[in-house]
Amino acid sequence: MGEYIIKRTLQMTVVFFLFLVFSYLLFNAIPGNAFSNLLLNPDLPPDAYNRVLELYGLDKPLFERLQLYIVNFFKGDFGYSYKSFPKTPIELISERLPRTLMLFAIVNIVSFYTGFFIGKILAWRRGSQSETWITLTSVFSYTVFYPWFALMMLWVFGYKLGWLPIGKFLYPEKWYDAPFDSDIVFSSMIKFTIVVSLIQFAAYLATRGIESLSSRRNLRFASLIAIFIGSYFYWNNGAALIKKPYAADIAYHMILPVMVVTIVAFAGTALLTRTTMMEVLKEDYILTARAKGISQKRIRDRHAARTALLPVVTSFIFTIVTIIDGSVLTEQIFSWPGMGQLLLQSVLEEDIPVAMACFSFVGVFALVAHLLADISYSYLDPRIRIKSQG
Amino acid sequence: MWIFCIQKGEKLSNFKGSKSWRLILLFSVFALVVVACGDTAEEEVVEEEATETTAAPATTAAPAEEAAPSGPDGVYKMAIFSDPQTQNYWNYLDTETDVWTQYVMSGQAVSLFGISYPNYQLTTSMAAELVETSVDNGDGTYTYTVPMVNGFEWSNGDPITANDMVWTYNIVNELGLLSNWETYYRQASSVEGEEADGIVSLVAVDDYTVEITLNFDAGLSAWQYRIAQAPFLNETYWSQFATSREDLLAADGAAAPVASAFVYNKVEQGAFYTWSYDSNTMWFGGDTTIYKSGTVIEWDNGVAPAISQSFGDTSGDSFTYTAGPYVGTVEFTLYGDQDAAYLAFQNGEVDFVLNPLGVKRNLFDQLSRVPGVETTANLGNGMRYMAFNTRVFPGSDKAFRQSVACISDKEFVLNNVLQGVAVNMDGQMPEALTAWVAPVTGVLADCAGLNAEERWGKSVEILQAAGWTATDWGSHPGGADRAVAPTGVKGPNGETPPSDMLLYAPGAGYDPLRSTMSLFIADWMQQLGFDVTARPTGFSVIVDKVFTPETCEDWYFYMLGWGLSAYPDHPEAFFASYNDTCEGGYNTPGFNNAEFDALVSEFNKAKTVADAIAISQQMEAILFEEMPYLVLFNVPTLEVYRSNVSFPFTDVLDGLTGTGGGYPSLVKVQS
Amino acid sequence: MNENIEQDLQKQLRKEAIRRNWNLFRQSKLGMIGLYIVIFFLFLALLQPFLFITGIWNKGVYDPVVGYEAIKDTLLVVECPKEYPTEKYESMKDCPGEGEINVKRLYLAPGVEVGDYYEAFIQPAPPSSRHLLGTDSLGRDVFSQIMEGSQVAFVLGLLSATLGVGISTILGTIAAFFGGRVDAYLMRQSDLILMLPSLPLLFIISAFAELKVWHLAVVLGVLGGLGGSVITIKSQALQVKVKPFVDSARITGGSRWRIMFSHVLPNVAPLALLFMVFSVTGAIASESVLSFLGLLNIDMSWGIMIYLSQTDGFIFSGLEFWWLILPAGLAVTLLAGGFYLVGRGLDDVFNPRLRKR
Repeated sequence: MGEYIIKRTLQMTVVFFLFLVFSYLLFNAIPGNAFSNLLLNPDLPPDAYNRVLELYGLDKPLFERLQLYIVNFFKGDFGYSYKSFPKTPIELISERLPRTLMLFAIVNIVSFYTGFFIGKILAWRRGSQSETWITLTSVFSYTVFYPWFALMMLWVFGYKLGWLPIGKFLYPEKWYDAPFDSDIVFSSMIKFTIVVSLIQFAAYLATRGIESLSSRRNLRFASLIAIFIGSYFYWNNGAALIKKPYAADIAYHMILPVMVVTIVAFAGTALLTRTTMMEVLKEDYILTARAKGISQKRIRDRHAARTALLPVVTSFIFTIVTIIDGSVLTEQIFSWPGMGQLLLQSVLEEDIPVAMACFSFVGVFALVAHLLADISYSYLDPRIRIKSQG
Repeated sequence: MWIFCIQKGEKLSNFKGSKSWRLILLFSVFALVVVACGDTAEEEVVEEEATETTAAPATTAAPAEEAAPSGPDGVYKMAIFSDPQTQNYWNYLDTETDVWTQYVMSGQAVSLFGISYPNYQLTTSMAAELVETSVDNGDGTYTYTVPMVNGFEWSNGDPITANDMVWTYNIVNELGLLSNWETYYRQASSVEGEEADGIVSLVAVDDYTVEITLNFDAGLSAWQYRIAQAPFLNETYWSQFATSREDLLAADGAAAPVASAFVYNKVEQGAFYTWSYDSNTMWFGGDTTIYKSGTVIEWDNGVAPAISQSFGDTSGDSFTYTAGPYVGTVEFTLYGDQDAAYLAFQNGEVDFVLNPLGVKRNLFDQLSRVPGVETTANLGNGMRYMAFNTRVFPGSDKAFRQSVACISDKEFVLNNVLQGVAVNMDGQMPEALTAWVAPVTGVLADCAGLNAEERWGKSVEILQAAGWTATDWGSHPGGADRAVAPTGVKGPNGETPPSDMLLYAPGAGYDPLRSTMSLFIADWMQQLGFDVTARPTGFSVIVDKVFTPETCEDWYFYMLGWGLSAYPDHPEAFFASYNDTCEGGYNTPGFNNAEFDALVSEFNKAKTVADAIAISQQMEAILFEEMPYLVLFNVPTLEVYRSNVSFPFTDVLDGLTGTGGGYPSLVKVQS
Repeated sequence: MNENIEQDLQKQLRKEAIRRNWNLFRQSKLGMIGLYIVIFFLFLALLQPFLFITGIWNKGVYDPVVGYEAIKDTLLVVECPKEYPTEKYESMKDCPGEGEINVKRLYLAPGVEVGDYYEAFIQPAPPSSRHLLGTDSLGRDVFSQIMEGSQVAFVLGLLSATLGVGISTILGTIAAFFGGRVDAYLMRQSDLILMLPSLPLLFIISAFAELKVWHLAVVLGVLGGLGGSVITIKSQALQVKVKPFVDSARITGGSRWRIMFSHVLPNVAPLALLFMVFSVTGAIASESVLSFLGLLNIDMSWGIMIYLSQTDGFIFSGLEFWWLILPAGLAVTLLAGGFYLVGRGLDDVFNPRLRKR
């Protein structure tokens, strides 16, 4: 195992290096550069443009720049943003990242649970009329033209009904006197979410062994209540109390995006769960369980669903990888200035240092997640020990 | 409260039901807990909103209110679409010229001269008088001596003096600030030691007199509209950061002293920005009277130095407005999506959407019907055009360019197909600059009002008259049908036009107007026997192709647009032979005409607007004859604002966004 | 002679297999729904050239890109009130009413006053017998655009899916069959592709390459083919590789390539077909998103239709201009969903475990 991880890490480094080179060349293949707009201002002296290029080192040959970039990259120097000079890409990312993490952590958790739940039902109701209808709905919410759908939802809930805000993540009026930046609120919200989900996960693990369905449920429920009480105290005391109204404002603005993305994203999980669960239902041990006369619900929840969770979890890990990628459209439509918008904007403006930093961030994230997925998969399912891997 | 929660939970754990309604119960209890413990977001917000709406005005404005009992209150809310990259004025003018950065930028800089809107009249700003003439020193240098008004102050209490300008000039040179700074404070000699037109010295004679010496005889575009409008900033605040370009650009601009009534209040990167009224400000009030081409400024608020000056021709109709600010807070909220911004506007969440391009016509039409929405339509200060490459055949042939100009029935496309979304434009000047607009002459005048058949016939005649030949000149069946195109067309010297020529134009996704126009013009050229295809192309690809010296001969036609500045000296930039793109300038067609160049050098020396206009019109007459550009149309800027805000004027070339960024210091807001 | 019989037999067997699979597919209700949807759009895609060739449609009027028909009407110029309801108008929606035009719309027509009659072009025009789905703001037939869009979607979807699945099947099989370095290389290559954020990557590619429909299809196909599907196909091929018939083929002395092509590939094919159908969905969605963001320089597609209605400000007009918003948006969703459902049906056919209990 250890040897495998070392080998993979080495390969990953090589892949990452190639990734860097490839992306850098790609960005440079875009016609023009970050300062091309200067060319369109006739009031500028003609050599002003060249002087800008010189200052930012864009006049050097491509190969030399690439070499410089890679060397500096591994030294930990990502350069300056062209467009937001003298901010560094790291500053920009650390400003944007909490916002994206907060929104999409919630979105992923919600859509994963919804999807898994619906998938379970789908597999179980195989062949029934309701299965057809639920599947049809899921398929169309899965393939719906997302930006169009999101705009429609914005129109309905934000404008027509007026229940929810139209994009953004806060109401400026409420923040006039805020003694801190939204990022501080975001990071405490993220910390809060992480702690809560860890507690809930721990409760889940702790109660796993309990045989009785109802007492297990009740224990989990009690832990949920404990979390609520805990969070009630947390948000009403000390430092968090001042942040509470601001956190609430942000949470209110999160409802619509979370809802819309969940509607689009849950179906993927649901359809996958259905397939894997149906495969599992054909396994011998399920038949055995049936033969033993164990109740249908119990087979579904305790036996089948748990095994079926495996590929679903793996796909979930892969989904997390695409958070930033997938956030581009959502952030654009819901005016949620996070990583996705930063990535999109830096690519469109050819702000290469920022775009490269974003790409590398996504890349590292993806590589590590893939590695973790591989390792955990083989760890969880002894039938697939690492053998076939190169 | 929390004991209640636990009791609920315990009770449930004793419950041993096992049917599906159990789940429902679980959920309902869950919901109960949620409500009881008052912890979820929705719950908080309801509470929050109730308290905020009543408490907000009191708490929000309290510190400012106490200090400034006389300060205005009310909030002017504007939407922006892109996050400003900086609050630092130095940084903003260095390489970052984003309009959004500009709109949100506070008044950190002042200049000697200014421009009054909506009549685009040159006025003084920090200068005590509009110095238009220089002293010839006899050695090829010319000196302007500009007195400044004594008594203006930055918001930190420093007086605004000539030393600020001198210091700014020196810092720009010492730290090597780029792009716009370099433009404003262009040095007399460039790095290579070549003689270049620029500033020889900029010194303060005393605290309130600057002396600027140039090594050339500057005209309007170099003096009044560039150097005299060069921004300068407060020395005391900024000098602590002025150790290097990087430090200066990284400095906090939100805390910088300003020369306006508004200072930054809250900067929430990526969400919103606010300005609040500075209670100690001297920058309020003042009456401005606007004439067609003249302005009178009367300013005496008891704190700032009293000013009473008139500029230009102060006769005829006029109106007067009194400057504010009338609002205590200006808010800029960021919307990532334009539709969302207009939806919020429709909902009354913002008063005005800052959008330099304006609303699309259909949205404008819909919004104009919404109660509480006011609309205004202004022409844009810009043009969309098609350029011929005059370096390569057939673009090099004048008759060819003229015949294409003649057959192109722009009015038809604009009025019928595009349904009057844009206005036809023939000359280089936007119609609203009435004085500058030159009468249409040449082929455009000859072909105006002709139908498709007559245009085709006329175009063929032009080609024939210039010695073009064809094996068969084809015919036009009349009406709306396409002509039978000539075959075997050859140039006057027997050259065969290349086949498969491309007309690069932005795609329908980027600009449906130009895209549609390009399809029609390519088709008309086909009807004249030229193998031209319109090719929808990405904006950056076109720019890269036509503005790169190395590829200046690699295209035949393209369509793009220009946004123009307050002083219309663009024909010089676009058509003077020394600005040829092959040499790195903006003359993409490679237009080279000695007569025109002579007029350009005269134009550059013109000292008064009247002189400049006269020369500009002669220049345009040449352009109408030679047709290096086929100017296509002008797109109006359509803007909408909530009826609870009122502007002193709404008719202004380029719109309320383009000229004044929504005029936060003039706008009145009813709550 | 013998060979002929063998060939006939094989042919018959194949036919038999197809019929069997078709019967299985037919049992899948969802798969059939999907198939009907796909066939419907295929019909639309083919109908348009037919209408043009037979001259039922005049190209000048119905061409989806440069077609134009001036629908003129003389309208009464009115000014919409600031407050509703008024005597004449119930709500904002009723102004301007039938045969009326808002004076605000005529900002470029000088001298027109309230109460005048004005000859205006009706663009966008609501559905009529001439234009089944009305016209867009440039006076072009929306129905024809939908047809053009489905041509684009089919070309793009099928081309990119075929290409992508072709690449990934071959590479996946090679990786499984040769293992070792080849496998490691191919797996890391898919890692590399998976690392690239797909939407920004497509932005970049569309910025430096002039993407026509088929260019985009190739790009999407290659990216899809090199990415994650190689891994899945590989694992399937690995399962086939250890089957007894492969061993027996090896023992009888078949070359590696021969074994790969004649034994392993056919057994991977069902999964590949499934992938193909699913990746059509992805390709259609990618094109629409790129067009929707205004990043593709193609003349017409469903994404462009939605983009134009959005930039023109119709998307938030509620259902007043429904023919500009709904058809294109629904077409994307339906066709993508249709292919997905067909995939579901095929899944049932090829995956015996999923068949009915």
